[in-house]
Amino acid sequence: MPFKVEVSNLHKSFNGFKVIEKLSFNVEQGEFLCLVGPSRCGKTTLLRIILGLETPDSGKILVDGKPVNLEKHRIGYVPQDPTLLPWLSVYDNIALGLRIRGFPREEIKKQVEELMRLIKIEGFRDYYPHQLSGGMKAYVSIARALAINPDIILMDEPFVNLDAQTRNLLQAELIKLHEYAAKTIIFVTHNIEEAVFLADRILVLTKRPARIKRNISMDMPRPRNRYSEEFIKIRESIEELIKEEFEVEFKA
Amino acid sequence: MKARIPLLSLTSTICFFILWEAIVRFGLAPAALPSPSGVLYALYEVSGTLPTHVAHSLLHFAAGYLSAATVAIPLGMLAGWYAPARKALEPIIEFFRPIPPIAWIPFALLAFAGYFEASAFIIFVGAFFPLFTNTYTGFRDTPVSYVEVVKSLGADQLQILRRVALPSALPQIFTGIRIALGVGWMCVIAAEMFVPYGLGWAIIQMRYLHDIRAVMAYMFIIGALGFAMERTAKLIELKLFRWQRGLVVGV
Ligand SMILES: Nc1ncnc2c1ncn2[C@@H]1O[C@H](COP(=O)(O)OP(=O)(O)O)[C@@H](O)[C@H]1O
Ligand SMILES: [Mg+2]
Repeated sequence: MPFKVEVSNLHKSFNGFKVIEKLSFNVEQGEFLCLVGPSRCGKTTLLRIILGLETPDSGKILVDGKPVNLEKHRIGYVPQDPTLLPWLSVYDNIALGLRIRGFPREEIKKQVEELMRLIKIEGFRDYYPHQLSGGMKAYVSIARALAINPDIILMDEPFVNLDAQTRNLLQAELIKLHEYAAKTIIFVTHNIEEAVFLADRILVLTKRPARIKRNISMDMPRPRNRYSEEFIKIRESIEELIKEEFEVEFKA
Repeated sequence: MKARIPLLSLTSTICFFILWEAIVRFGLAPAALPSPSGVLYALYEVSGTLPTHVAHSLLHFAAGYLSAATVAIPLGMLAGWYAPARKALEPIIEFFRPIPPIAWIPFALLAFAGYFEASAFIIFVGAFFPLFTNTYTGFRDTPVSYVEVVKSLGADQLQILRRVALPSALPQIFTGIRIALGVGWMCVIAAEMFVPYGLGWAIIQMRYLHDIRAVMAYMFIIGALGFAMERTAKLIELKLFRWQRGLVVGV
């Protein structure tokens, strides 16, 4: 079976400033991949290149063995800043992808209402984005990406603006989605604990330009105990790797 | 939303007219200045022919304004959305923009056979630029992040135009619609001063008759109609763009 996502030999610079250098990795069907790395190392840029929102200087991205086509592939994208369309209500924002793809009205209603129930925002159905708090916007942005029933989900630090309790809840929901619906997930975070809790595999990136520093397969069974010895050991080892990157920076 | 006139505004308006009336009555103003009650009486005197003049003016206005909207809004969309169209249109638009609509009046009177077309053309010129410029800026300033959101959800070019560019430009287009109403209305009065019907013509006739009360009566009519149009547009705007207002809720 071919890989779900293949990233090969990716290079990207902005105004001669290298952001991604010779980056290659594959993601299997149904795999939950977490990307962690120092801030501004190029994680967001990488996701945007995978989506085709940014063109790489060289290198190749394949999804299901073909170049990305957002009209054909179903890729759910949760951008780093929850960008809701301000003229659409919460309901209409979540329904947007299904409308674009021409789904029948009834099916859209069913799908959107189910999602709103799942993440408990039914009460906000008719609110406009500017009336929502940051956390609530993040919810809607996630729901909107999930509404198109994507088989790949790209998430860029989606839980950053949430309180710890809500974050834990959504992490658990995401794992459910991954396990029951066999979604392939690429999840960017700078929260190492989050990565260790969620991932099948963790890619630790170097500071800019982003390369792969370490590839860590996580075979801990789920649900994972954040306080178990094994969990803490892995978390600390990754923290150590990231810290090394900062030290390189200071010396340089 | 309830339309409530605040007490202070109401009082100040009433006081203004009472003061004006008093100044004229006690001979404190130049003799030519009519009193509000005199203007009111003149309004009553001209009311017989008023509907015809108003009808002519509104007709001129509608013809000019609607043709301007039909041309300016699509052109603005095109120039705002497609960079090549922008580059092609910009020099031509910028060539004509600094010519005041009023300066077109002699040209229009010579170029068009009928007074109707000539007046409508002046309004066309006046309304065109605010409509074009606002539509153009609205489309040009479509936030890239919104475009990317719908792209990631699978939108093609037409969907992007319909679901992002148009709604995000709409408030700005409406600003253009409202400004163009004001400019167009100014132009209609100016244009009609040279043609034999409409409010512009009527007000000029009263000048030749040395009836300053009637001149003021027409001034107020012209003002009131302009106000009514602007206000209607504003109300529609508030209804349409409710998504821009309200309080923040949630966690
Ligand atoms: N469109 C752009 N133009 C110029 N520089 C950019 C652009 N996008 C990102 N960058 C730069 O690339 C680097 C990586 O950014 P980003 O991918 O957002 O990092 P991360 O998500 O890991 O924090 C940063 O230094 C950022 O300033
Ligand atoms: Mg980022």
